[in-house]
Amino acid sequence: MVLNDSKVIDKFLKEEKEARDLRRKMANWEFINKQPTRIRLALEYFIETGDMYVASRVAGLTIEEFNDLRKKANIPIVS
Amino acid sequence: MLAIADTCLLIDWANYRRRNILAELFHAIYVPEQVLDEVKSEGVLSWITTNFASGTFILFTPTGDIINEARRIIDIVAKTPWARKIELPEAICLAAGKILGYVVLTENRGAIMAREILPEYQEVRIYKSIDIIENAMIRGLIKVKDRDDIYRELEIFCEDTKHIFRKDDVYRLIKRVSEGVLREN
Repeated sequence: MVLNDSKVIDKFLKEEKEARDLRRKMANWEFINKQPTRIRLALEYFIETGDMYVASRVAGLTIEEFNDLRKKANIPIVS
Repeated sequence: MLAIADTCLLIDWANYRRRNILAELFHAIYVPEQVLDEVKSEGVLSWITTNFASGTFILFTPTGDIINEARRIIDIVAKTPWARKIELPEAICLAAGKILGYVVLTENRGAIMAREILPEYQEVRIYKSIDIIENAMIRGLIKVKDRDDIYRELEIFCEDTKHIFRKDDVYRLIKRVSEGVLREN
C-alpha cells in the first residue's frame, strides 16, 4: 500500500520546485556551458533533480569528484 | 545510537570543519562499502580510515535480505508517478534503517519521499544534515548561546559544503534549540 495523500504530494512537489529554482538561479551557467558534453549534462541533471549519485554516473566521475565539480559550478545542495 | 550514512552525505560532511561531531553524536556509523569507491582525495580517505580505525565508522556490507528489501522499495517508488526515484545505495540505507533500526543519515530526496509514501517506513528515523547539527547543538557539541550563534553555525556548514537549508527547517531548528539549550543559559 502506498500513501496517496494529495497534501503530502503537493508539499513534496512544491519543495522540489523551490529547490530546482534555487539551483538554477545560483548556478554558474558560464562555467557549466564551457564543460565537455558529459559533464555539462550531468551538472544540468543535478540542477534539475538534486540527485548527486545519478549525476556522478552521468559524468563518469566518483561522487567526491562530482561534488567538487558541483561546488565549482556554484550549485547548492538544497536540503 | 547507531546510524547508517548515505555515501553522498558522508562525502559532503568530509568537507565540514566540524565533521568530528558525528563521532560524538553516534555510537557508531555504518558506512556502505561503496563509499570507498567514491573517494579519491587523500584528505577524505584519511578521515574515513581514521574513523574506521577508531571504530566510529564500521564498514557495512548489505546482506541478501537488505538488498531484496531495497529492491522492493525501488520498485514501489518507480511505480509511484509523482515520487522522486530512488537508487540502490539510498534504498539500502533505508532498508537497513527499517530492518536493523539504524538512524539513516541522508539528504537524498528520493529516500525522504520513500519514507513518506511507504507506511511501513514511517517509523524509520532519517536525519538530514540540519537534523544532525540540531542534535549537536542541543547536546552541546556545537556551542551556541543565542540566535546569532545558531545562524553563524549554520552559515559555517553552508560555506564549507555549499548547502542551502530550507527556511522551514531553519525556523524549526531555532525553535527546538532555543527551547532545549538557550533557555538553560
